[in-house]
Amino acid sequence: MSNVHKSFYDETHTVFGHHKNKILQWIFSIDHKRIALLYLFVMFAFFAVAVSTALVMRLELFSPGQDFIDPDTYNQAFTLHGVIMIFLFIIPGIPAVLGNFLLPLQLGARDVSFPKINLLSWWLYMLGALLAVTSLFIGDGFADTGWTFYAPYSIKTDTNVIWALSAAFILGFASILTGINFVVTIHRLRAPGMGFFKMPLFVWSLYATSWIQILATPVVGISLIMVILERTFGIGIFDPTKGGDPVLLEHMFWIYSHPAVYLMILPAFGIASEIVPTFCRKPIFGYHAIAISSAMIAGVGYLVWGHHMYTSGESEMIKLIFSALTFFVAVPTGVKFFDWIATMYKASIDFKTPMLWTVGTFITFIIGGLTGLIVASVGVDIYLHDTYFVVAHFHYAILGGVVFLMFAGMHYWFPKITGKMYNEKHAARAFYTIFIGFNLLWFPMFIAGMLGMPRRYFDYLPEFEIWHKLATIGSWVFALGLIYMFYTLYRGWRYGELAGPNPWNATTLEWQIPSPPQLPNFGEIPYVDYMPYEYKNGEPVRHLDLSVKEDKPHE
Amino acid sequence: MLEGIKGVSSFAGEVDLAIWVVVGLSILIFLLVVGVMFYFLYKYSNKRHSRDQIKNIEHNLPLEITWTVAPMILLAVMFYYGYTSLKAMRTIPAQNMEVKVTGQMWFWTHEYPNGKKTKDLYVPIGENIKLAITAKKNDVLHSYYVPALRLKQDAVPGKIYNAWFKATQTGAFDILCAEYCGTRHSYMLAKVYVLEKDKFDEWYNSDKKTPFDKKEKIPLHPGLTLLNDNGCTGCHSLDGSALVGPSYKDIFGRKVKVAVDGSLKEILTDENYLKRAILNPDAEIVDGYSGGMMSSYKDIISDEDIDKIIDYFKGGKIEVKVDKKAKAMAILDNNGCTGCHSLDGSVLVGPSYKGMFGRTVKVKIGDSLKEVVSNEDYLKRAILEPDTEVVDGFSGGMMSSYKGILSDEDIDSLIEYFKGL
Repeated sequence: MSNVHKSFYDETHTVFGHHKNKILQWIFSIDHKRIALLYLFVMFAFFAVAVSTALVMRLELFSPGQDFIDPDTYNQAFTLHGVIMIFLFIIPGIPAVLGNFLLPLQLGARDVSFPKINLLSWWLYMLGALLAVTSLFIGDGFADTGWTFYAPYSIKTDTNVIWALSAAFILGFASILTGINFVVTIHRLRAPGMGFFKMPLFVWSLYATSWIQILATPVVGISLIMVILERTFGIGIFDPTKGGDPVLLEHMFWIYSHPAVYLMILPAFGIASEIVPTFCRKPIFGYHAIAISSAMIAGVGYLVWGHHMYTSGESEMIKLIFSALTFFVAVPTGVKFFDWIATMYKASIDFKTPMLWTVGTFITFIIGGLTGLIVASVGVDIYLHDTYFVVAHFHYAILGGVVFLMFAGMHYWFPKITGKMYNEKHAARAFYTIFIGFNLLWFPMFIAGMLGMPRRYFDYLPEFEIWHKLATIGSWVFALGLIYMFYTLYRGWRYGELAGPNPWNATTLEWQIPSPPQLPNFGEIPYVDYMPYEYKNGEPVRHLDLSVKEDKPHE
Repeated sequence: MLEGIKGVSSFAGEVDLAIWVVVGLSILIFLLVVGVMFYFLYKYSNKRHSRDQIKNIEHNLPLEITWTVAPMILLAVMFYYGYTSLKAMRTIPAQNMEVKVTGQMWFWTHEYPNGKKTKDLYVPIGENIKLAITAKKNDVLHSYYVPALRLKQDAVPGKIYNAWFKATQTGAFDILCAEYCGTRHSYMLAKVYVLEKDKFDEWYNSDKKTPFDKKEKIPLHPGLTLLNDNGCTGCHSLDGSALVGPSYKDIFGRKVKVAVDGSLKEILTDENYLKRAILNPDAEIVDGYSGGMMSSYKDIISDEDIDKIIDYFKGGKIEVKVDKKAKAMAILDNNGCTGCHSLDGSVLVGPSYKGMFGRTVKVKIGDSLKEVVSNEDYLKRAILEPDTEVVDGFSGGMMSSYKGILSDEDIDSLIEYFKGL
């Protein structure tokens, strides 16, 4: 057993036994760490495509009138942007990459419960992605319905809606399988002694997320199938000429897609709960409150979908009920933020890049969350619904919340995943560039929306030009910042200094093993009868060495 | 004009109050939370607060109860104002005039109780207008959005949803489509014209198409009128340019390739084909265009009317003597100019056209006042760059440039007309 010291980059096990070919060793690997990285690279490739699409749209909107692309291309562009960002990037995002990589490590497990199903999830994800990409190049091109696929338009248009729907349907399966895998892993594979309330908070957030994936995804699956049937056989569920009701699809779509928003944000909150205590050098404030609030957000999140439909034709009473429930989601969300900020009290805060990203996200996400309250208020939302205000709101919440915290997590766990360290100075500068570009890009949209600029508009009235110009300029700064950040991370991966097992002096189990981790993760699994974030005078209470050692081979 | 800012419906005040309350509270919460965070980040940065000064605090029950309960009170306030503004905009007064609004790709039709149909909405000031909003049955979703009225309601095929308003100010206000509906979604624009009561009544009881119609209008070929009334010209141009569908220019009697069940076939665009194309548009789609965009006009346009349309396609002419005055009037009406500029000397949003030519008038250029003679040059400038020289006593930013909308020839005939007014 002389090779037990090697990292998971050097050895792996695949679903078919052994392969000589390096590529096959990756794409058939059942090691959760390799699967996480498979997701990472495919997802960021799609992220790049979706960002480029958005840049083209912003360029078109720089001036009124038609400049670079025609209206149909524009409509396909925002659909492509939405479908990729939502279904291929953000929903799988944090759970599939950081969740896959870290869940077993934080629990003290050797892998997830079903490693082969884990690999199957990735293959289904690839199949869905392939369908989506193929539909770009055949027939009338990518769907032009918007990512919401509202009927009857999604039934009438000539574009490849069925392809996009099938892609989303298959991606849903990948998502459900990952969810089941994580729930079982959390129930069955916690280290001895680690009760639910001794788990790291990132695991808690994955737990809440996984339940949403399992319970809500089938609903969208069903509704996507219904649209496919409607297009293929004209069964008429959503077709008023046959007695159907287009609004039904809106309900079915949002019953999934609103919880999906919490499915996106909860693991991001989990990342914040890991980073804040580490860089405050003290235990997190209100551990139980944060853990339970994740579950509460997941629970109440199911009951608020109707707030997307205040203008669609709901009774006044239903609007008020959905409004009240929506406000209620703000309470557990607020609790999390108060807990994080309370953790900073009497701390000794170290402003490393992951902490910068987290603090920056707190600003942008609080704006995203508070504007969410503005549009939760019924009378106000009827004015703002389907305007740029909503576009700005969800980009502040999803990009400025989920994606920014994903970036925070990428910087935080970068040394664990690669074993190397990026350049701190450049990483911080990249953050500031992105942060400035982001606000310049989206803040003007709040104002344009307040003034009545509807969304999904290829062209606009002249009075909105200034806001569009500012946003487009912001998009360039934002894009440059992204390139800067990815280049800094690439440099760190190629040429960075060795990071060592625990560069941040953090407390959770993944930091007690070598970076990058060895294939079996742990040489010995400790008895975890303590809280996940125990510091004394800014130093972790425990320093463990759980690596696989030559004289003590695992199993 | 930034219509979004100023509300002109009776309940706009309530909605605006709700907006200011929820936005104000949000800003307050933001400043409070982010303020405290920045204070901690500053004070407890490791430069100012070393590790041995750290105090591990993991719980504080009174504090935790406070920050769970206090937000609930603020949220209840936000909810309450959402409720009051909803109530104001959804309580439809029993006494009202009901206008049926139908959305379809990509225009609105307003139908009044007496059967008048218009593309823009004309309403009297101060009266309760109930809108019964729907979309054509085989069409898609639209949303009737009038920012200035704080009014938005989706138009759903097969369903009728009501909304209402009472306008408190005369003028012209944008109607936008707020629910994505395809290629020309962003061009599905119209206006609400709020008129004085007597002006509205005069129009409503007349046989004019719009209040800005004058009797001396250029008679159009009845086929073209039908095309305009049914919104056909929104997708099919008259001048040969390709919009969503093929242009009507020279449409009759040419050979085109059409897709029938996926295979291409060459046909002659004769009476029969054109009729089929109107009644069953998806059966034979001209190569290069997409199906599914146009819905059938069966039972909407009668056979007799279709014959008129086809006669128009053939190049059928009706005898028209071009009347210069009528031509100018038609330009003014078609561009909505008379909505803001009167012909009789009364002051609306902008100066009246009466006596406009040749007089000396004070205009604002930037912040300074200057006297100019309103000659040909000035009037042309006023049409093309209305905000450069604004007549004293009127506000800038109300009128948008007609550059690219009116041809030089149009402008010349307008100025010719102004000379005699």
